[in-house]
Amino acid sequence: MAKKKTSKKNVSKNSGGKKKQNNKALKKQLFSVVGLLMAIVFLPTTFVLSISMLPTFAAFLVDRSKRKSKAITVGAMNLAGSVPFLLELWTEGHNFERGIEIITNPQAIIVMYAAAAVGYLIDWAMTGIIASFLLQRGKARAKSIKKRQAELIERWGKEVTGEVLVDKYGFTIEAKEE
Amino acid sequence: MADNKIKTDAVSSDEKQKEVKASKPSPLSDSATVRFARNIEISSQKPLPQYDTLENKAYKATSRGRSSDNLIAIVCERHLVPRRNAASVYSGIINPALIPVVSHGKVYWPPAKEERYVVVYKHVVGDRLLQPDQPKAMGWKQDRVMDVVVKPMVNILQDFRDKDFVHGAIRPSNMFADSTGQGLVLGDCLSTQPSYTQPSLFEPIERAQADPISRGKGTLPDDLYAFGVSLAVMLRSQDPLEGRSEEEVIHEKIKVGSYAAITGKDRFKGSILELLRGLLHDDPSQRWTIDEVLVWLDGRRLSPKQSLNYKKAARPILFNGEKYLRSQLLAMSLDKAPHETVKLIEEGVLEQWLSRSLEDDRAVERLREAHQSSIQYGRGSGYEDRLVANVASLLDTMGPIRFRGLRMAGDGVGAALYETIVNNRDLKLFADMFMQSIAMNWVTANENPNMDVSGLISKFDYCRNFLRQNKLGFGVERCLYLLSPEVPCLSPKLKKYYVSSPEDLMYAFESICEKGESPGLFIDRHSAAFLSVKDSKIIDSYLYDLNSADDHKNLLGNLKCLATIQKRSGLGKFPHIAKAFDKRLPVIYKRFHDQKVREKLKEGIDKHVKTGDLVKIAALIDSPDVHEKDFRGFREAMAEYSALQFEHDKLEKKLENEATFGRTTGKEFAALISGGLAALIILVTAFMFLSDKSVL
Repeated sequence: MAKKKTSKKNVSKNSGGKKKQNNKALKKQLFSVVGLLMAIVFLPTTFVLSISMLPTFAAFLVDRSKRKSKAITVGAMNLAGSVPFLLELWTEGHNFERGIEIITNPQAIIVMYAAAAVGYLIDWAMTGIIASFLLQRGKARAKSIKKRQAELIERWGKEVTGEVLVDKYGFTIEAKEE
Repeated sequence: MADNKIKTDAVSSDEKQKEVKASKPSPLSDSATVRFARNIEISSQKPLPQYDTLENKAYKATSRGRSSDNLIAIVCERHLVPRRNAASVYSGIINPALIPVVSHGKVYWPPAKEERYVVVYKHVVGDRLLQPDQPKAMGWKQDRVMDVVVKPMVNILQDFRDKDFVHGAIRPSNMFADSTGQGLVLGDCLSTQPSYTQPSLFEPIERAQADPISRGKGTLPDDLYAFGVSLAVMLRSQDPLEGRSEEEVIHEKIKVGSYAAITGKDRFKGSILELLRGLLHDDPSQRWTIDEVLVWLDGRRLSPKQSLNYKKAARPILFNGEKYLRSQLLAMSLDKAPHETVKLIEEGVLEQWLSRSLEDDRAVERLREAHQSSIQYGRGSGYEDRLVANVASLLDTMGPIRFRGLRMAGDGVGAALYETIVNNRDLKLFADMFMQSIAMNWVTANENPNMDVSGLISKFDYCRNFLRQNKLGFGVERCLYLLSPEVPCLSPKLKKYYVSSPEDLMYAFESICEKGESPGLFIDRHSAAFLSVKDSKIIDSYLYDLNSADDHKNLLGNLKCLATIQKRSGLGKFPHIAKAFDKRLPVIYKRFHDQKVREKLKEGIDKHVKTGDLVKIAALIDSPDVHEKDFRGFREAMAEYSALQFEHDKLEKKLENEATFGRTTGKEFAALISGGLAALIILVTAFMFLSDKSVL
């Protein structure tokens, strides 16, 4: 009976997991479809962005981290550099010709890519600074842990480490000589 | 009165003293004068051998109070048990014919270099009426005996009856001439067990058969019997039992009865005959009581009692080459040839004799039971002794327990056990006696009307239970103190001390510690058993700790036990005991996890060690609150240590590669900065664009 119950539970757990996965996939698909539709509807914008955001795509491909932090850093700055030109596109007709004009304007490309470069710079600089700070802090913490542990041992004895065999009252069980 | 002056054949006491001095050079220093009970000085260099009570030596003593009295101090040997409880009753009896006891108690005795019990009497006595080595026939005239002995002795016996006291040493050799030389004074009876000093002649048959050390407490009828024998010895002109051994004396008493055996060919006339017949009756229930003696003394005639005749068999039984007609005599001889006894029983000869010649069907039935009871514990080693003891009990239903050479009255087993322990003899005998139901079978078979059957059954039953446990506080030691409440504690640690109460024990330990001879752990098997019998509340709740193999528990048990004595008895301080404990306390401190608690505890204990307050030391160490708080703190510390270790391990793992450490966080932070900055730029751009300001 018990076995049957547990197997039933496992079955219900598995079905719940699958449902979640299905929902995620469905959302992803829906999002892709909406995105694709938007890209088609706003084609000039899509065109400008696809050229201006090339450094972000490159960063996305290079970044192997799970959260894609580098791509976000570069992307955010890249987008900030592209926004003035997008605004220009949207206010001046939002057509393909104006899009090509913007893209072929070297000043625009320089601004967009320079902004992306600032993103790279932020990523490099902040990662270094923060990592170095965290490393020092980690080392200090490790040291303070050892110190506290030593204090605990001094006050409560080596039994506190849990590394020696103790009785139910917490005292070392002396090995009896035969 | 002058005619009645007691003449003795004894050498005068002064002469004897001179002899002793000449033959034995004093082994003591000049300062060997012992102070006792504030105002008594005992001179260990001045023995008074004429007043010795067998092994117990007498010494000259003086009182240094208002009056400078001459005293006799009897110093008790270690293997003998003085009658401490009886001494208080004795001191309440005021009778000029009884040697007055001045004081009694323990004292440090320099010749033995240990404490001894001492009984101090007033020196109001002259010489003994009869020296122990003289023939036991004094040939006094009846009138003289009546005036000098009967009247004062009856007076004394009346006092004994009123105070429920048993003397146990009434005999001419323990009667002294008084200081005037005209009266009689009955001598010492407190320095040994009752009847220990009595030759078999002066004891009723059933008591005479027991070893002198283990004759038990005795009763007033026993004193009356001894008085009767003493009278006969004084009156008779010849000793019919002269040259006979103790055993032969008993044999003769059984064969012809005490009266005939003691008086022999002497023929007494007149009223004294009635008195002797009445007092020497072998049946304790038929023996004259003190009231009957008083009636007789008033001149009324009482019908003479017929003497008790032990049943005689029609035909004798042959045992070990000798013929026996009385079962009592056979019982006395059985242990001389245990192998023969077994043959006699297993071949059915004894049963046949009991049934046909003695016509005692009850004895036959009991013999079968005794045989069965002996077989119950196997036919291996000990079977013969067991069978002999059980069969002897049923053949002589008034006699003592006869086992492996010892003969003990029921209430004399404790004294025999005490002597065996003091003399380092084998104790297995006693263990076997209780465990193999020999003692219990004896109680069941015994028909002595003066015996406290229920008391003995309960005590023997307890002993059997104590022997089943070999733990501290039980075993043969507990049996000893239960059966002999007056014996001192025999702990080897207290060898030089006479410890008769828990309070004495404390003072002895304090003295030992003061001398720097710390006894290690204080309570051992003997002291645990001793305390358990004296006052179970002192020790019983700590027996678990005292029996523990853990040092700290054992030490704590010792401390709590001694602290309880200090508290219950309202005793003063014991700084030396406290100091001795303090040296060993680190074992207990280790049982606290928290170093701070240990230090605080030590500080508190140090204060109480100086004042010798064991109660407070024990309370500090054994506080459940402190223990609980300490353990809780330890558990919390353990959890904290474990959490820290987990954190440390995690950190260490990350720190293994310093190049990547924190980079993920750095990148995330960069993304955050970048995102925030981008949002700001976008907002500003949008704002500017919307407010028609050219961005580009």
